[in-house]
Amino acid sequence: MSVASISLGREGAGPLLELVRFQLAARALEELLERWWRAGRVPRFDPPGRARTAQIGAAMGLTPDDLIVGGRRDFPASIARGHRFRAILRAAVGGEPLGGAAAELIGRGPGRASVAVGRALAARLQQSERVVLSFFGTAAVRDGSALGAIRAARDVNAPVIFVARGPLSGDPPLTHIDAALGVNVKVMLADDGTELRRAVVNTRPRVAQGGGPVVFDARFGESPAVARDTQRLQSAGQLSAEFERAVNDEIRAALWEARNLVEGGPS
Amino acid sequence: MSVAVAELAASLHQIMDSDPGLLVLGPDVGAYGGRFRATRGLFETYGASRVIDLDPTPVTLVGVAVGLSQADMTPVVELEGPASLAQAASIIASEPGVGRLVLRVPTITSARADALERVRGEGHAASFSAIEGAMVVCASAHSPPSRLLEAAAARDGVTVIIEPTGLYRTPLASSSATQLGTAQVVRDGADLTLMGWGETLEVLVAAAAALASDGVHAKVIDVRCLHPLDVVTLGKVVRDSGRALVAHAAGAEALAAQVAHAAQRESFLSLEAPIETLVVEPGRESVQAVVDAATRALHY
Repeated sequence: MSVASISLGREGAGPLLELVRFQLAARALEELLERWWRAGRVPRFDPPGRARTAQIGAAMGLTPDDLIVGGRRDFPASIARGHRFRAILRAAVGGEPLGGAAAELIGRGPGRASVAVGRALAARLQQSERVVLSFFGTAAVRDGSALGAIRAARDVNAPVIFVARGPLSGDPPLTHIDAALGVNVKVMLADDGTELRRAVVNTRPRVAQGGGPVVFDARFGESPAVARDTQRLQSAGQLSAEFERAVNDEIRAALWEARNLVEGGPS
Repeated sequence: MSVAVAELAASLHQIMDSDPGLLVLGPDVGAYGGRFRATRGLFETYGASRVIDLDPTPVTLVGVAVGLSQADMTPVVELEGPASLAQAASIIASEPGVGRLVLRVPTITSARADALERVRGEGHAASFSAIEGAMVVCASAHSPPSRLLEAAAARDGVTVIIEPTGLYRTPLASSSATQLGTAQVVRDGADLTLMGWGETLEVLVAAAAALASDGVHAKVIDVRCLHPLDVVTLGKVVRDSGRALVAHAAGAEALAAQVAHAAQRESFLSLEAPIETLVVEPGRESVQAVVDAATRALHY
């Protein structure tokens, strides 16, 4: 069983339910990876933490031909794109990149946002409708690599949707680059995956048709997390203790199976 | 007879004609024609979609090139200088699936501060050892940048071409296609082997001529491929003569030691004298220094 099969098994459940399921799956995987990292079985662990909401929400707004370029920290986005637990665990244990047609996630490689621009430029030159989603964090903003990539994307009119995720760490939001670079920047609520998904869905056609890159700043401050998506599900009467337990059991079973396959060696 | 930079521009035109997936990127490579005019006329012919002015910051420039390369395009990047090389290597090494990618590195060699540039340039050849299939080559009057570029654009993998800018205005005799990855015999001789690369080769050729007037026949080798070294050729030429020295510009001591070590390892039982390394700069004094070192090796 895979996470993809979990979500696909609930056809018609709607994006909100799917989003919450992906969040629960990502949290379970993160807990396992953290345990493995503490036990020395994973060479490096970059926890997504609260960023998982933005990662999943943004990824769900893409079409199947689109591509995500990010770091290994962005594995929740790859769950939303159909990567199996097994592939993610194997990449984590081997310290390897997580590749595939839908998402390319590597460790903490420098210049990943610029690589995303290159991938998007190639897509435009090859006359594809593909849009590239690029994640970056406060470190890339501080060292200037994210701003360099955004400027390059503007200069070559690359179809990129940039999403800043993770903690703000005391930095201001990126609204200043709107005026400085002439790139559309929108500050989003970090804990609202539904809104980010909707924003990506609405923006994507314009970006794909040469409207230039956009930036969503979905970083969070120090305020406690408010899981908007879960609240919405609750308000819709679709969330109950039984439901959550059933989903968690299902995820745990899928994780267990993936874990056994990874520990069993390469297939 | 044309100068090297004009040939380079002509080669770029030619390879862009034959490969529609080839793009030129770098600071001022567009309408301005590049800092050294190597991309002159490309923008007018191929437009802004294939000749792209980009921020000189290596993390941006090389990152975009890596993305293009991963998507089966052929980016030819003109870096601002060798100072960017270490960071470029770090970006490429951390990325999976990098295909064909050419980094051109104009290296100014005429001012005093250039020793530092060389440390960062030739000295960083080893940085690319972590990248599978990467090759670092250095242009010279005998391996002009245009020929190296043509060969690099035709090979899969990452190729770094270090271009001493002093060569750009040098008139070139006609040269044939260059095979990357190999050292080249520039002048034949049986008594001694003089090895170098880039602009130091002219000093070695002048020293070989001076030695010939004393009846000593020195072979001159253009090492050309700085990573990986062509140890087979280096070993063979040193075995044949039994005596060798490696000349290099200031700042490339580690690389020169690596060349000497590789040649020594491949020819140890044939050596008549230890392989010496020495710093040379274009000029008569350096020619004499090479002649003196060669004489020491011959009388060891």
